[in-house]
Amino acid sequence: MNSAQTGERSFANDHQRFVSDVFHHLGQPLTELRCSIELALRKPLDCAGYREALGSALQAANRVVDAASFARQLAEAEYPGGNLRVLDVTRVLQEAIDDFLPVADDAKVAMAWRMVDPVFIRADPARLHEMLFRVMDCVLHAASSGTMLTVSVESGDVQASLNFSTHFQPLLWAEPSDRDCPKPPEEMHRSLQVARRMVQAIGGTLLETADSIGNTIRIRLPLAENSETVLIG
Amino acid sequence: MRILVVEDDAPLAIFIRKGFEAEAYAVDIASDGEQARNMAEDLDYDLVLLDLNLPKLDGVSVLRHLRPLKPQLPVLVLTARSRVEDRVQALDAGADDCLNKPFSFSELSARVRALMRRGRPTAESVLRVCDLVLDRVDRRVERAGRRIDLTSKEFALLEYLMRNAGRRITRSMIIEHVWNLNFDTSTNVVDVYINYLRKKIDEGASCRLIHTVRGVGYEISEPEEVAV
Repeated sequence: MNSAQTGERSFANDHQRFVSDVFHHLGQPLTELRCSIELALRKPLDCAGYREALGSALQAANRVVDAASFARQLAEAEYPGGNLRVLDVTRVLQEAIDDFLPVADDAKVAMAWRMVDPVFIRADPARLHEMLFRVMDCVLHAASSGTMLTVSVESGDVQASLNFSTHFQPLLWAEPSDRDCPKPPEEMHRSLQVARRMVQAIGGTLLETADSIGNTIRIRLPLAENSETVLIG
Repeated sequence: MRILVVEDDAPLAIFIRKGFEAEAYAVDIASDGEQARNMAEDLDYDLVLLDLNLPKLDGVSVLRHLRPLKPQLPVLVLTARSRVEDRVQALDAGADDCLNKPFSFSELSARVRALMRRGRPTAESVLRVCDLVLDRVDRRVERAGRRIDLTSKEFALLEYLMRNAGRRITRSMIIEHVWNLNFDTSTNVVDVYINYLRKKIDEGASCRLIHTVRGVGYEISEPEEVAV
């Protein structure tokens, strides 16, 4: 009874926080949008003035769309997917690593990976693919030139652990990367928030830690039941 | 070119009509599913823009009714339903492409142009653009007789560009079709892959085939003079 009550309270808190976050993210660009239109209508402007006002309104509208899209992605991430099945997480992770090798190369980030395979978990393939894409994307965008990214998968008794660690290695490249400016930290943070919810939706956790050597993202996912993996294994 | 816009939200329908009329398309509007079904059945359209949430008859039912009658008619579904399952349902019912609301008009316009010129997907096993040849069966790529080795993702990207040769392809279209992901992302993965492809395809060749379309995405098409 107590645990049911705690669960309900935690759900209500999460829901409240979600609504408050959404309102916060939408409130600012909506205010900008309204103000720029109000100002444009207050007195007659010349052509350049209207163009500038419309440009500001469009920028604010784009931010509204981004915020609404983020809210939608967060809400959808709570749903584990309609095609839950037993998957070898190392295989899906390897595909994500292969996809991002050119991106790492472009950013002058060295990549190394170590996996024990197979490691079976229960997930929706499309959701798992998206979650790992988001994590790799965020990790690589946050990594500066000359960083070493190590990806590993470990399997315990009941959990699989996916680790993404970055360590700065200044001697790896003589020249820094000339890649375009990475996307803003806020956007990365949002993408990682969505990934975290996707992990939680299948009973796992996503933790970020930072120390003097570098950053680590550790994802823990429950292993599939033995009886489920017999046929696949 | 004549487009049928099926949208029950009048301001949005009028906005879409104005946008496409400015691009020299003829545009008709249907505001419910029954009207859309009758108009699409009786008149000849080059493309249908179809909302899913419609009064009287929903978009998927319109699509299921139309598809057997007009298998060649390109249909782009506009939807506020963003779940993968909803997109799958629309595509299974015969939609050629899906675009989530809210969308930008330039994204919509790029997708309409891509569908208009494509018709139904090509079944050809060998694709050619100028002296670039891609064999989908042998998974082989050659430029001017020189073999080019591509990774599987580079091959998929080039194949997608070549299937849409001469059309502007947005980054989100590439992310959707090549990476099979459907979420707003400003990842630079597409740009990095395009750069890799350029190095392999265009470097040392007599002309460039992969072009950047500013503010939109990319296009593969016939020669452009190499700057000296």
